Amino acid sequence: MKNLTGYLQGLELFEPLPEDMIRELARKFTTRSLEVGDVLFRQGQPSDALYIVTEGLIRIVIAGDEGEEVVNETGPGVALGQMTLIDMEPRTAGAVAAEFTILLVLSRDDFMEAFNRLPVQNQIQLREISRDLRLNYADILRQVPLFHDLPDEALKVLMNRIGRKRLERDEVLFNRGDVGDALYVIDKGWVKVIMHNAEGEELTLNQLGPGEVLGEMSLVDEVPRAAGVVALTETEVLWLTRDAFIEFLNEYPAIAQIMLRMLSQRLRFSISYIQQAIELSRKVAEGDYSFAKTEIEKSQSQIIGRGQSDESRVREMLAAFFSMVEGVQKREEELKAQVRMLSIQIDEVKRQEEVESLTGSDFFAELKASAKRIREQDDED
Amino acid sequence: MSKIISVHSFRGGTGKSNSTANIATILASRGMRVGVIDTDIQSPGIHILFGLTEEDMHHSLNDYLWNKCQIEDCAHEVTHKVGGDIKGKIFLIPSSIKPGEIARVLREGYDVGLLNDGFQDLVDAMNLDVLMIDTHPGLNEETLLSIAISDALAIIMRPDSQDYQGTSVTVEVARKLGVPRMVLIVNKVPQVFDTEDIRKRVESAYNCKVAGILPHSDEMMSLASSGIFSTHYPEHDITRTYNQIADILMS
Ligand SMILES: Nc1ncnc2c1ncn2[C@@H]1O[C@H](COP(=O)(O)OP(=O)(O)OP(=O)(O)O)[C@@H](O)[C@H]1O
Ligand SMILES: [Mg+2]
Repeated sequence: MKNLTGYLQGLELFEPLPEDMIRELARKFTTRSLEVGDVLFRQGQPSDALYIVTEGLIRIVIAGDEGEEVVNETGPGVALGQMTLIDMEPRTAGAVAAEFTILLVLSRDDFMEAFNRLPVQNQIQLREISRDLRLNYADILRQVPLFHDLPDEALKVLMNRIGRKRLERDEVLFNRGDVGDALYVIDKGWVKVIMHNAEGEELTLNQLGPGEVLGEMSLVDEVPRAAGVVALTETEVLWLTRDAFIEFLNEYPAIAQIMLRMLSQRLRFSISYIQQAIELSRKVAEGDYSFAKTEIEKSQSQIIGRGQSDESRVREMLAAFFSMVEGVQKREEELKAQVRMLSIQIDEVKRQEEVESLTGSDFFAELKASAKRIREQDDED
Repeated sequence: MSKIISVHSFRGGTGKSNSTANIATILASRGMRVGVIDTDIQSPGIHILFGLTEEDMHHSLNDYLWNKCQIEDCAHEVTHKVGGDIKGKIFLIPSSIKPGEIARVLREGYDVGLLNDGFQDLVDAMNLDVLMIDTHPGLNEETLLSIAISDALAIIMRPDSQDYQGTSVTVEVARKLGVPRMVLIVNKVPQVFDTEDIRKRVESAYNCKVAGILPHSDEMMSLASSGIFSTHYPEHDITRTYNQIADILMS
């Protein structure tokens, strides 16, 4: 952590604090190191500190039916426990070191000592932020159509079971064939759903953005992932394990209905995709390749991330198809060149005329005669 | 017995000079004494392939045609210039590359009959096994003469509409001149073509044997006539094809 003061200023909870107080707090941080498996805090414990990971990896775990379940992993630069620092609610999850980890620690006492010195209106502001931090999480879940109509208490249950994961651009969320053991909801950013054809080329099947749900299929039918998912932009996803989800389905059957609705929307999208693919295949069969080039250009100039229509997404998905069509067109042109070469056109009349004009001269007659003489002479030699 | 082989094409730039130089080199490497004569007086070129510069040229075919010297005085031995292991010998009879001399020959012409005597004298004087004639494209008098006195003629064409009609006229004229052996060489064939199909179609269109089909080759392009392909790429498919063509022309 190069500049702890600067980092703290960026945290929501520290926003209303005067700069000299942040600087003072920065000096109060101590370091702590954890070996693999060391427990940082347990679920249900009262919160007594804010942690910032500087090195290593912390696993966030919650108690499940069969022991602990990992719901999230947290690496360098992430602050843990912001939202529990002021109101001291018990920790909603436990934290265990997954690697050798170094943390910066600010005790709750130090924080509260500074807090108490703040003017009252700042204290109120800070309390509100702390509450918002909690609500914020719930709000994100609310935006997800799947969870939109859940009662508050259900959402609260869900919040404690859900993890958060950050993906860099081009990072793989899961591969085709991976065990389908989690449902993902995109919070920020865009991902692409991909498959590979027989030549190993990547085909984009779909693009998904904020609020959309991924991997729900394998939660239901338990087969491996039918396609891979890769981040197109920096992306944040919320995730829920399969077991937690199934349990949740039992508790809140309303979720099942919403899921049905989403699946049928997906199906409709697939049908529109197939219809367009059939229409374009028909054009190819008729030898009309004209669309391929313009479609490829269109899809290249497209910026991902702005709420795309279904139609433009279908086009994106068909991009691989368009480049295949270009390949077909190129091969056909090469074949045409071959056919042109192989039909050797000779104008017979013109040929006779030209031969006659060349062979009709005295020079030619003499030449022919002397050539014959020379050859006969050679044969005698 | 010695042989005279002409290499011709109706159009320019088809690969006459390169084919002539390569076949000559292959025959020499088999131990033969090979003469190469550049009868393309208007636009000489084959000397470049053999690395002969203007300073190296003491006498040219032009000097012989103007009665300034004997034909054998124009012979330049270039065996050592082609590289590789050459058991025989290569003699080049270049055409003048001096612009003034080219202009004079075009203006005044020359006695075509002298050319015929020159071929025969050269074969005798240099004790040649083979004389190869690199010709000017088209069918002018000296080209007709070269074809007439040849034992074998190789006509080069490209798979290009520009070459089809003219090649058919050349084949017909050469047939009337009674050349004992006449073959076609298809050169600069794009890699996408099927060689066997080309062979079939060309042979039936011209009723003439195809001695070899040479692909358009990047190696040949980048060599850019600065040397002999077959000694630069002895294992190349093109070299193998030149060898086959040489076999057919000599048989
Ligand atoms: N198979 C081939 N692949 C690629 N390039 C070739 C091939 N054969 C010949 N060339 C190139 O084509 C050009 C013409 O070849 P070349 O000089 O042998 O033809 P030419 O018939 O003698 O021409 P001109 O009629 O001008 O005398 C040269 O630059 C040569 O390198
Ligand atoms: Mg030439």
